[in-house]
Amino acid sequence: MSFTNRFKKLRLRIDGSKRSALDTAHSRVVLISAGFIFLYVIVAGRVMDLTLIQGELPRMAGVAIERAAEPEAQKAIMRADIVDRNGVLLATSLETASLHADPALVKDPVRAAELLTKAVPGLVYGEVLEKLQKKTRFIWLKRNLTPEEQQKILELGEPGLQFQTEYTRIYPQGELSAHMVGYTDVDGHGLAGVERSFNDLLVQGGKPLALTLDIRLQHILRRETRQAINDFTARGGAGIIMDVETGEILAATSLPDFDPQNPSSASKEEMFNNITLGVYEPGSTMKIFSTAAFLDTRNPGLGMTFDTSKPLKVGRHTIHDYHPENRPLTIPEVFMHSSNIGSALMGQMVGTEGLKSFYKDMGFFDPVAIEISEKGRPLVPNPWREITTLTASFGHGISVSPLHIVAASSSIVRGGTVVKPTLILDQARAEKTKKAANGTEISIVSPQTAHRMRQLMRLVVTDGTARKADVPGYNVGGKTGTAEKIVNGRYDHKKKISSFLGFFPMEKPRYAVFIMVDEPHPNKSSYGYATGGWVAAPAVGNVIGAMAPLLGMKPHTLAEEDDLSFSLKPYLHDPKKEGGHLATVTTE
Amino acid sequence: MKFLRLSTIAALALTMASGAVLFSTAQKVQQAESRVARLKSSVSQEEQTIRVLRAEWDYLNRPDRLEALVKNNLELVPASPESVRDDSSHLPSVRMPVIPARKPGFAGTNSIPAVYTAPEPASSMPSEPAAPVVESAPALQRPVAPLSPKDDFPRNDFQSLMNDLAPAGGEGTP
Repeated sequence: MSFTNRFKKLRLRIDGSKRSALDTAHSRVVLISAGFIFLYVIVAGRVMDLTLIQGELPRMAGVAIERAAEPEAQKAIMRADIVDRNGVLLATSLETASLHADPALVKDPVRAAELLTKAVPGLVYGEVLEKLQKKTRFIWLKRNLTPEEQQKILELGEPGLQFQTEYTRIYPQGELSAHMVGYTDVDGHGLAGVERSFNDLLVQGGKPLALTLDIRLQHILRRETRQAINDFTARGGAGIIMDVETGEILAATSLPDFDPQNPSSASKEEMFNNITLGVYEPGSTMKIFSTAAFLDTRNPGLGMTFDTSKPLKVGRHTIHDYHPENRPLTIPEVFMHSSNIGSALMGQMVGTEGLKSFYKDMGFFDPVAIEISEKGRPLVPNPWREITTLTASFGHGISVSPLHIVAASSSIVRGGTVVKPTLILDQARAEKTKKAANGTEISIVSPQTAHRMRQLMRLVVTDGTARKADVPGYNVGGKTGTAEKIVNGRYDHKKKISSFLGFFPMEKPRYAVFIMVDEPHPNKSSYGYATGGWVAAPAVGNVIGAMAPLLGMKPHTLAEEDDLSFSLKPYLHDPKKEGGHLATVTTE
Repeated sequence: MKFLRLSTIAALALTMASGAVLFSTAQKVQQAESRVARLKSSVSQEEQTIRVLRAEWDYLNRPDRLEALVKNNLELVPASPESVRDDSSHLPSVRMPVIPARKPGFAGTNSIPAVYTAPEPASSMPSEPAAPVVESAPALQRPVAPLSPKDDFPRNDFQSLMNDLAPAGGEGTP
């Protein structure tokens, strides 16, 4: 019997005054039924929607149904990359999975531990088992798995094992620029180098931080420095290439070095930054500054002579020359033969106060200004005695970092105005525009003195101790340095630090190249010498020979009389005139 | 019966229709949302892949590795100061690269000059414009793909770097 028929029957029986009330009830029932039908239709539709439309159809169409749960929310900020000046990655962050477990969910810890140790090479069975049997809800098993290991663990199908996405720091260049770039710990905190000093900036993510380093030059410098260290079976070394105009450090290497990927396995010596943290008695490279101070303050004629015929006695100290010329030397000769006595006498004439304030202006009393935190404080004798003035003139009794020497002498040869070394490309550019805007530069020596120093440094390469550093066409100039190391409070003449600081092209210096070798031992090819002229100067020559064509610099071969050192030649001792003997091999 | 008035039916129909439209719109939105989510996650996956590839690229282009590769496989030497010339007068005059006419006579030599120097006046070079010869020409040589170098270097170098990540298993980059 149908629905309406029943109502008809009802109407038949009940009539009269009750009828309208019945009608109302009737229509209400119909309405309510309709409402319920409507609701059920909605529910049925929704069920169809969830099961068929959202569930089956996409699966049939072959679309992955994994619904990324709010990708923006889970996307953590990645530590910013560090790149070199050409955009080559020095440090980058990559996503890796880390394995942790919830022991409460692991039903059979023994079996799980067995399978895990089989799947992941680094894990030890006993340790894993102990961890899995703990009564906690969270334990770390292994950080930073490789994708392969992660896949294996997923295949185990153990619900208690879970992954967390983490970020690992990768250094694609390995040890190449380890000391400048630095490294981070497993949680991504910078522990050394730029990673440390710019940690706050890097953790914010965003644009890569560009350094002034050029990875190609870095490689050349490291290769040649390492070659010198190997050739002379030395302990270590350091090298710097700096742009004299802008102060940008194009390359800086400290050997031995380490793999920043794996700093925990590096030795203390490998971790040590020889470039900025190590302070050394520089030896004769310091004569650049004492000579500049002398020329700038006293303005002497170049023909002025210094008697170096006998060792200089001051109090109970005696100052010797390594290869005494035993005659009065002119200023160019003192510089070229690297006479300690001559330089000490120059320092004496500048005076204690004068030399001290000059060295202070050069920045030798403070840690070098550079954007990494591993910086050594120079060792300056306190109190500064009279004898200190003399020894400091030829680079003993005062210890500074290699970068001090490079930065300060760059300031002199570029024209006597201060240049600040920098590692950060934006910093260098900002500095440049600021200087261009103000047109103010801090002057430390006069342009005349700067020119004189360029002449003298060119003379060292054409006629003096660093002939092996010359590269035809690039007109290298510089100064060698050989310092004895102090062992148990005494100078040990067998343990040396040999260095060479070169500039090129000398007419208008553009790049400074410095190489220092720690404890070189003489070999056959060096005729028993292990001085800066034999150890570091050829290495610097090689670096310049390789880097200049790379940078597209054209060689300028100058006629002899156009060479910077030519006008100094009249001040040199001519063996033919006096029938004397000019030492063919001059070392400091 | 007032229950089935036209306006009621119309209202009901309208409700149903708008319900249907609403439902289909909601469906579309949901599908679009899930597509957006998929795209976003695949974009971020691609980004990750790009980062990994970039790192691998720079890892494989390490100067010391390139240097070793060049030394072993090529006859190139680093540019020396002597190889940088200030003036171009020493160089032979060079024309734009000319694609040589594929004449049968020329086809005898297999090497195709990429750049040819200006012919000397007394040259026996045929001055007539190269006529396109079709029938007698031998089948054009397909450009030969450069031989892929033997894979001396393990391709999974980068993988091993990743494997070395753990401080325990590392012995420096290879």
